Parts: sequence; C-alpha cells; structure tokens
Amino acid sequence: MEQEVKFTESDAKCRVEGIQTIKGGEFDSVRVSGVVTIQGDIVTNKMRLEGVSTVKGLVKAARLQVSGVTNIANDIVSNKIKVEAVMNLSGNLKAGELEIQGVIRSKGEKVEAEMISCKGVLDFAGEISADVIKAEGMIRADEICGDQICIESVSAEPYQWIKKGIRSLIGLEEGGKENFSRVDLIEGTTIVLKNVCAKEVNGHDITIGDNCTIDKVDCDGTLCVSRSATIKEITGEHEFVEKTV
Amino acid sequence: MTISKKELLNLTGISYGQLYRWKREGLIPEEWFMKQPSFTGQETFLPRDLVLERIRFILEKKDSCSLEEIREMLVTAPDKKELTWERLAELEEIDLEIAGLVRKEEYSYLEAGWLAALSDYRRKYQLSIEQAAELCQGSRGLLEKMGKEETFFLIFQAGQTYYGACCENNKVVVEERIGQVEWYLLTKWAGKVKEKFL
Repeated sequence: MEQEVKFTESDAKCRVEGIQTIKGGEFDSVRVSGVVTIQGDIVTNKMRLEGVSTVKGLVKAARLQVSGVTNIANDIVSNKIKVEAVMNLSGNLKAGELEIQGVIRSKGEKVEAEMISCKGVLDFAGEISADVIKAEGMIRADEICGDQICIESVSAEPYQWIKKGIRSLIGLEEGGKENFSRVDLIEGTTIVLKNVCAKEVNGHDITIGDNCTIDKVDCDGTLCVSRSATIKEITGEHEFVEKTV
Repeated sequence: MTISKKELLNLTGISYGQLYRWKREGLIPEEWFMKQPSFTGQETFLPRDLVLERIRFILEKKDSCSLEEIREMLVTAPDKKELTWERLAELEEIDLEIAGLVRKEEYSYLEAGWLAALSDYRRKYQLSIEQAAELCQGSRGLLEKMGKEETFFLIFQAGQTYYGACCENNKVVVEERIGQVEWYLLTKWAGKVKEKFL
C-alpha cells in the first residue's frame, strides 16, 4: 500500500460545524461542515470541506476533499485533491493528483499537478501544467502543457442538465459549442482532442478528433485528423495517420 | 541570445513533457520562459546558453539522480557554507594551488564554483601561479554580485594580465583593478548628435 506523506506531525483534530470563524493552524485533520471562515494559513494531513467555506490563508493539505462550496483566497499545495462540488480559487494550485468531478474556477496564474483528471469543469485563465491530463469534462484555460494530454469533452446529452446547472451557477455563456473545451495553447508530447476549440496545438503525436476547431497545429511526429475537425494551418515534419476508431 | 522553445526541443531531443516537468519541478527557472510576439502570434523564448547548459546538466544526471536531487544540486543557496577544505581538496575540478590562495575552513558552493572556473581557465591557458593569484585576488570581489542570480563569470586577458567580470542586472560588472569604466546609452548619444543637424 502506498505510504501517505504527512504534512504535519500534529495529532490535533479540527471539526467545525455551524457558523464559525477560526484562525487556522496545524492539525492532523480538518473537517468543516457548516458556514465557516478560516482566517489564516492551514497545514493538515487531511482536510474535508463540506459546507460553505472561505479560506483566506494558504492551504497545505496532504489530502483535500471539497464536497461543498469553498472559496480559497490563497495558494493550495496538496498531494491529492478531489473536488466533488465547487471550488473558487484565487491563488495557484500545486498538487500530485487533482481529480475534478465538480467545478474549479480559478483566478490564479498556475494549476500544476502530476496527474489531472477532469470529469467536471475547470475554468481558468492561466497555465495548466501536468504530466498527464485526462479530461472528459470541460476545460477553459489559456494554456495547457504536459506530457500526455487527452481532452475528450463530452457533448452527449446525458450530462446536459448537470452542465446547464453548473454553467448557470458559474456564469458561463450559453449557445454554440458551449460544451466544448476552449484553450488558447495546448502543448504536449502526446495530445488527443475531441470537441475542443483551440488557437494553437503543438506536439509530437497529435490526434485532432471529432468536432475540433483549431487555428494552427504544429506536429513533428504523427498526426491524425478527424473528418469533422477544422484546422486552418498545419506545420511541422509529421506523418499523417488514418483514424482507427 | 535567446532560443525558441521549438528550436530547443529539436536541438536537445527532449520532449514537451520533459521540458514542462522540469519547469514544474523548478529545474528550469520559470523566469527563463519569456513570451514574445512573433508573426504567428506569440512564441516562448529562453536564454540560449543558460538553458542549453542546464538541459545538458539535467540529461547527464537524470539516470543516476532523482529530479529532487538534481534540483538540490541546482538551487542550493550559493552563499551557504557547506564544503570543508578537505572535501574541496578531493574535487578533481579544483586546482589546489589556486584554492590554497584563499584557504579557509569552509567554502560555499558558489566559492567552490568560482575556484573550479579559475582552475579550468588556468589549465586551458597555462597561467603561472603568479598570474592565477592575481586573477584570484582581483576577481574575488565579484563573488557577492554573482550569487544573486544565475550569471556568467567571465575571465579575459588584457595585455599580460587576466581579469574577471560578471553580469548584474543585465550590466557587465568588471573587477576593481579595471578603472575608468563608463557606460554610454548609445541611443541617447545618437540623439544628441542628431540634434546638431536638425
């Protein structure tokens, strides 16, 4: 079994319910299930935010789970983050693993992780960098860079009502390709895209899948393009391959 | 002189994934990634010599060390005293005659690097111990300027004497033995000359 890395040796447990304001501090675990404001920095091995919370300081949590609505005004450092509901972030995020099932909306400059999986929404005006990015949900970002980038945004109807709710919750526009991921620049060793609008895609092995609209693709390995994709310009020394699926 | 990201990948054979991983891990400083407008929109450029040297170092170490260990080697506080004379003397890069000129109990990594550079230069250009001693004493004052940021230490010959220089805030700083140094902003002087003809 993988050994858990601890961020603190503290054995104090912090459980907050109701409407409260706390200072922050070092704890083995933190569990918030009311309407809570944390004024300062927090360092913990395990943090679970279930209610409506605001953290004004830095969050250093070995494991962080967001199951409510949380606003974090500063940076987050974590080994593993799971967002099941809504997280509004004003600082940067650095994580080993980031799992998004709900919504992250960030105003920071960077989201960095070894592995990002996104089945929900990541709406972010900045740079997302990760070794592996696997997104079935929707990503909005200025830049996505990494080793293996796979964004296959779901345009099918089953999640439509959830997405509609999420969109109205976070104020995203309706109409057109509203379910599509939109990114200015995507750069990676291997890139697979579906239902993505991007200005520039640079990589070694690239698959531009169904319904993508890309201004420019630069590829120096293999390039596979779906018939339903639109690309304005292709550059680089590459080999075209047929789509197999 | 800068190099575009794409040219860098072609030249070194590394992948986008490696470049971004090393950036995330702090092995390649973020400030080296400079976005500049290009005819295709925007392109990222990096300082050519610095990044090529850094990538060569990472590639050389990556099979025997973890990324964290490589980062430790690269970002150890340069002024932190960690090397004893005995450990310094074991290093093949260090010329003991030069090191002996500034012998003390402990050395920082920056000082060790400076001694290794002086030793290398002495070997390459066959400096006598007197010439090396002069260079060593003369350039010692540059150390405090060199520790602040990633910079080159420049050694050059003028006449029969050897001197050192480095960069600070994009300006070349020469050692104190070189006097009467002036900086001229050429566009300003060109403007002054142009005024005479208007």
